[in-house]
Amino acid sequence: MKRLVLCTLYYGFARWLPVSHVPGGAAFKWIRYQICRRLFAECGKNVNVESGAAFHSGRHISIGDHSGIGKNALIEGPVKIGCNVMMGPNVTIWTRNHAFDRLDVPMCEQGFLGDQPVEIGDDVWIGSHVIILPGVKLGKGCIIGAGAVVPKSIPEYGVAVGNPAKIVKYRNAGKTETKKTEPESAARERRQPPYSGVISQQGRVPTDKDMNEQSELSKKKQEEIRR
Amino acid sequence: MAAKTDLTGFRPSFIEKGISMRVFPLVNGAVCCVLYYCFAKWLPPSYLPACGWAKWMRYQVCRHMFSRCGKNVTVERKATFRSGREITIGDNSGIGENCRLSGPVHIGSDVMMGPNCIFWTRDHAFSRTDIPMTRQGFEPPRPITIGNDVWIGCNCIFHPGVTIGEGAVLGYGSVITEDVPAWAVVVGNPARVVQYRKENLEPCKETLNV
Repeated sequence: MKRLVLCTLYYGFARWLPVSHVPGGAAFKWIRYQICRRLFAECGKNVNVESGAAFHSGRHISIGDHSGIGKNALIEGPVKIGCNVMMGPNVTIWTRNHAFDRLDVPMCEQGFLGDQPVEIGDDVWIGSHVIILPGVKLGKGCIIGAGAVVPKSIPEYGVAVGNPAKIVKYRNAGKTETKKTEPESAARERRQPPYSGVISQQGRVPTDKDMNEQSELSKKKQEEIRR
Repeated sequence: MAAKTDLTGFRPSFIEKGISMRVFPLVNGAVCCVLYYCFAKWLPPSYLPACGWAKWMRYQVCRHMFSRCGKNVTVERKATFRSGREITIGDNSGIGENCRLSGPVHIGSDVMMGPNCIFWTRDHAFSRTDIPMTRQGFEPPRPITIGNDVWIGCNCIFHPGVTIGEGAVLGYGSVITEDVPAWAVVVGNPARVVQYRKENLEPCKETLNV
């Protein structure tokens, strides 16, 4: 009965309050936290449940200190979230699949396979529009890039991007060897073209002249490729 | 007469430079911010029948929020862009439904944008592994620039500092991690160039001939 009242309060009212980072949003954050604290199986301190997040009754969700559930997130079934987890908007976490073994019965009548809980470790950064599939375990300190679809578990400190998510590097890889920060920053500078810098300094809409310059640049690049 | 001429001589400089140039944009911006996020944001989308008034209302509010705003700009329902002070937008462009612009974004003219696009202009810092990422703060923001005549599909995600060239087409759900050249058609996660809209730019044909 208590859960029913809290669920009604959350899905009827608190879920539709504005996001927590607007001026005065701390009040909305507090209201959502006070409801979710009682809905979740385990709930740490200073948890930020953003506007529009849905997680059924919340009975199977445990979340650690200073973590967050992102805006418009959709969480189905048992999920264990660690401490210091950051989550972008529109994240979807699935914990069960449709059964589709038989061909004679429509898939919608075959029901579901069993729940496979998702575990998210401490200090994880999940980008926006990420889809996490059933049974996935995200290790401590890993990063999931925006728009990734995660079908398999990610080890500790892994940085995974793409669809399906592939590990591109490890955050702790450079620590034992040489400093990897310098070449990385240099690469970032190289990736940023002088064109965008010009626009940002002047703070204006790109004119036809700018765009012509850029198209000439791209033409030059194409010629280089041909050579 | 002399007093009048003094007044007329005095008034424009004081009002235009003193108030309208400094105070008015700020007041206007703050009022329009409240108006937008409390009211205009929730009006029906512009593509519904007989809802042109919603588009007009959002345009009238956003005109004062953006640092540069062209003519005939469509801002769709539930788009968010903070205070809008860091955003420039050209003529006949649009911001799609439920889109999120977090920081400096420069949009050219004749840009079409689908729903649910996200423009990230700064990343979390994650170089250290001894303290949680939540306490490492952010990297400095890098502006996103979008050229003229670009079609952005729904659910596109932009990384900080990317530049989209003129006439580019971004497929549905593509994740733009690097700069997109002019007239390119890109799809996928991460986004890759699949073709060029202008034939003389296409590299594949040249390699085939060789």
